[in-house]
Amino acid sequence: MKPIAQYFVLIFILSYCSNSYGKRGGTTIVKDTATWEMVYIYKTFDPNKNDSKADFEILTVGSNYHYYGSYGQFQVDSLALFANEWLNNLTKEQYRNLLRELENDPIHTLINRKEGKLEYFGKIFINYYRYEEPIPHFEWTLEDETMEVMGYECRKATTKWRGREWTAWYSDIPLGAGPWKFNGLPGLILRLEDSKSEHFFEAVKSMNVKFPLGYKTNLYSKTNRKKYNEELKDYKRNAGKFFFDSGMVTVSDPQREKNLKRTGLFHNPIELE
Amino acid sequence: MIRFLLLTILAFSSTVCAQIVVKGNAFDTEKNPAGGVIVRLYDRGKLSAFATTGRNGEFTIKVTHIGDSALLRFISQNHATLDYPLTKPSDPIKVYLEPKSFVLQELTVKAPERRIRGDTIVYDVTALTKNGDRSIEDIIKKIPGIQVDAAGGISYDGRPINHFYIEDLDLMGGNYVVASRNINPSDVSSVSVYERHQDKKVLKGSVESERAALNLKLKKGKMLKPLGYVEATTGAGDDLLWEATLYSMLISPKNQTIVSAMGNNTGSLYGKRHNDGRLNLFSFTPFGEPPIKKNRFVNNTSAFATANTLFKLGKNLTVKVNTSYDRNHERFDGSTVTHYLNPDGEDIIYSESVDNRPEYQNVAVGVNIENNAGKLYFSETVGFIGNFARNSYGVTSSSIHSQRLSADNFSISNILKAIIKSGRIFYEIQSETKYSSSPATRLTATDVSSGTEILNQSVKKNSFFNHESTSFSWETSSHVSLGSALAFEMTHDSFISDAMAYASPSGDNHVSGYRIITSAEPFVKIKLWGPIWKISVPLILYNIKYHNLLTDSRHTYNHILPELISTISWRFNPLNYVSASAGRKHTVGDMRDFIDNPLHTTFRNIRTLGTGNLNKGHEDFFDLSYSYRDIMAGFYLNTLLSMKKTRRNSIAIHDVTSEGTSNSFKSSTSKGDMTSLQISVTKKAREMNTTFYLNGNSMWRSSESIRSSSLVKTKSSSYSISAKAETYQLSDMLMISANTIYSISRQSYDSTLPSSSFNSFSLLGQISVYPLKNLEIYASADYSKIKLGDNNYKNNFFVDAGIRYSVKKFDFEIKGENLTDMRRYAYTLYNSMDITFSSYDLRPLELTASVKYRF
Repeated sequence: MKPIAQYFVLIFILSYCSNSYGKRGGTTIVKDTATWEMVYIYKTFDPNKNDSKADFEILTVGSNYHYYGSYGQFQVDSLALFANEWLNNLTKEQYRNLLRELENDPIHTLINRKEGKLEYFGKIFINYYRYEEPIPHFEWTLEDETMEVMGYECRKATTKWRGREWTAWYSDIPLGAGPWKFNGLPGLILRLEDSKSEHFFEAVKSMNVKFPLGYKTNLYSKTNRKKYNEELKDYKRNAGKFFFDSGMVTVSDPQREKNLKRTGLFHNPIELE
Repeated sequence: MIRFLLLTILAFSSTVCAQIVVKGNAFDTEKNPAGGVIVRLYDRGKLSAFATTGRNGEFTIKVTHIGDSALLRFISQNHATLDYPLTKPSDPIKVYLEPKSFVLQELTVKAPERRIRGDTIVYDVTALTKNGDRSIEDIIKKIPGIQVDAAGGISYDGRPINHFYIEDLDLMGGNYVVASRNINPSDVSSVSVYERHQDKKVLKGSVESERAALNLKLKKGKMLKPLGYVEATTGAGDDLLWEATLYSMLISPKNQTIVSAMGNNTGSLYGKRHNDGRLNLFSFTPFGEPPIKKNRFVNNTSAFATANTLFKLGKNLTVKVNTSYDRNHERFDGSTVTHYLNPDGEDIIYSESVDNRPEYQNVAVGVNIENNAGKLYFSETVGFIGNFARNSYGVTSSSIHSQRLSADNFSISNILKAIIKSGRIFYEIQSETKYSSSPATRLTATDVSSGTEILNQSVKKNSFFNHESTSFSWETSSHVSLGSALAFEMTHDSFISDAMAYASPSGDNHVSGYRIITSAEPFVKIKLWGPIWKISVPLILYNIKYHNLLTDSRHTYNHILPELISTISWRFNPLNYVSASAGRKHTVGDMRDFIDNPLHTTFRNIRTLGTGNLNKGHEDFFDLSYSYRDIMAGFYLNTLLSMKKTRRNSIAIHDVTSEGTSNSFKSSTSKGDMTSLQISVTKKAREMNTTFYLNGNSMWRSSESIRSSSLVKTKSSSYSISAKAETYQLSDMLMISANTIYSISRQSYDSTLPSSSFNSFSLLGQISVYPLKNLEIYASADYSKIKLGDNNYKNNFFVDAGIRYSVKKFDFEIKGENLTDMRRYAYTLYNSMDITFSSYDLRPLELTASVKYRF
């Protein structure tokens, strides 16, 4: 991309981002330095809607913290911290993706390994929430089976966690982490799937990086995991009702309003309990 | 009672106390606690437990057992990896880790090309597909370890696959080529290789299989709807050319159906040639044919149709019906000069030109029901096969002869297999019954110049075959299995020949009788620390009785012969596998030994199958195979060494006169040795987008035979080496493939006959260019240089080219075959003591245009 074009793109994106942050009212706190990151493809299936979708998500790792969130959202957050260097490598395709991703939910997880604490940042309808919990403990069963993922020889491990049975394939990469909140294996999880094949993660890209890793404060309302999950479930099941109740949508036909109120969104939570 | 309870509690307590606790602390080199370090405990090379150090660097691992070679491995993203031998697990451990930042290997995976899950390797078809790949066979050929022969037969690690599954169901059985050569790769998600595939669930984990299976998994959305294509081709060469193909399949979870019909006159033949059944007296091409692609030299009219359906009636229960019909009418002309080495003097030379007109039809129907459950395997198959040949040959030598052969053969078979598992005990029952008949095989020959018949021979054969077997095995422990296989095999044959040969000696034959083999094969299988050793001692009872009705002589043989077979196999790590087997097997003849009057196989060749005495002998063998496969590195190595020593009580006689040749046997001890070595190497260099293949074959053989009343000991050796490289460059816009083969053969005799040697060289080059995504321009050149005699070499050079354009569901293709317009192909064939120089007419330059529509 030419320098003059970069300049205009930078101005546009920064103004867009600052506008977004302004709406959310957050400031950025640097906690660590990211040293490497792993991109996962996440495929999920909603049996109620008989529909599936796929997204890219990223795990970025620092000395004490690691972050897990949407790949696009990750790029936006990084931009606020390290915009120039990142923008130098922006391609047209990334730029288009970025604009799309700017509208995505700002959902991510930040894990403080030193203090054993996990912070989850989520969004329900137009509201932002965050909750804390201890880093979850998993009772893994190690198995002998091996599989190659992204060129790494991975070993199999299984566990039951929050209502689902999971199979993980972990590597020799020296971090006991993985997608979502999964952790506790003697190597990074590169592939993860549940027994019903409703959730599937697999690593597709790895990068060595160096940039500040942090999060935004004063942006999210504090809640707890149970309340958040119940609220999210209610919203996804009755998204149409949320819209009508907010006053953002008005329909003159009562029957159509009734039907729209019943409209639900794609939803199949990773955690059932 | 109290004492018993106390003992139980004590025993339980001791079990709990048996847990070993490994504790320690990890620090950095400045003696600060190292938190977040992963501590892996390896016992005998296997990861058995692990922990992560806390903020104070402390860790605790609890295990029930630790071996002598246990090891702790400390891995961390901020420290260098450290291995710590666990000599005294009970002592607290302190380790100091050097600071070192972990650097990730940077990778981007478009689509994982392959995954390994135990004995299953899953290949992603999208990742393997390149421009120009037309059928799933093109993808399968790229899988390391796979070889596909010219007829479409697939082998893995040098052994034919035992199943070709689609969605884990084997619809096509052995006739999978119809599917592999017609399924569009864009319909398939993955191809899985099931290594050492035990297809019977009841035997899984108990009985190893050496053979692999392939499974195609279709893409989502490709099930439950018809897939396939129709294609029409027309063109011109010497004649108007045409070809039409329909291929359709419907795959659903409960039913699979494949229907196909095709026809052409462009040189593509369908089905297999079957002539006269089990005795195989009459060669389909008795005057030879060249070893090149048939569409180079055969003018034909061919048709083929097949319909196959499989119903899945339950989790393990399937019913399938397979039917096929093919008809081929071939025409090809050639000339041969054969030198028969003559110990008594000058070589005897035949010089002939032959117009071959073979024609054959085959029909096959099979119905199978199978239950493949974990505790019961049951399979019942009923089949009908009919082969009908009407061949004619015009032979011109010193005079003109016309020869005709009509041979009909049909068979009806029933095969039943059942295996029952009860605990650690297996019972197996197998029954095969087959009735085959060749009611009228007639060979006639006429001297065209005089119009007189010189040969009129008819042969009638009937055979009833029944095989019953049962086996029992018992896993006495996790290391030892004992068992025995019992088998009963009965063949009742009758053979009648009636020859009217007006110039050559011939005789009638009328033999009938039975051959019963009852065998008991006790075996023991021991799983050592790694290798598996199986030794069996088959005891075989032969009850043989044949009656020659012309001489009213009866021949009986009742005897028990012991054999010995020992096999050891060992996968000493995931990369290396070695297998060795040795033993002695007996060979005992059959009805053929009592067909002791000459039969005409052509108007100038006679063959006497037996001596009037039962053929007996034995074979000592030793086979050694080794494979090294690093799938991650894309490197495959397979080697197979095979040695055999045979002893028989009959010796072959090959006699030649100016009137013709005769082959027969004489009662006399004969010896033969054979050693062969095959080496196959495949290396996929992903960074270069290139695959290299290397194959080497060598064979050393010695045999004894009689020619012109003299014993001739023949020593022959042959070596061939082939190398192939296939590369995709310029973002797959260019594909270049080169395949070269060099072979050399030597023969020597310990008599007055001169030794001989021959060599040949061939090079096949292919290039495809894809200037646009949907446009392919391709060309291939096939060059060979063959030694015809001293300082006499023949060059053969073929060039083919074409252009293909795809738009939506249509493919348009214009193709030119034999662009150099070669009209003759020459080669040399050496067989024991005879050398044949052959030359054949070729199809001319031909141009075709085709349209293909995929649905």
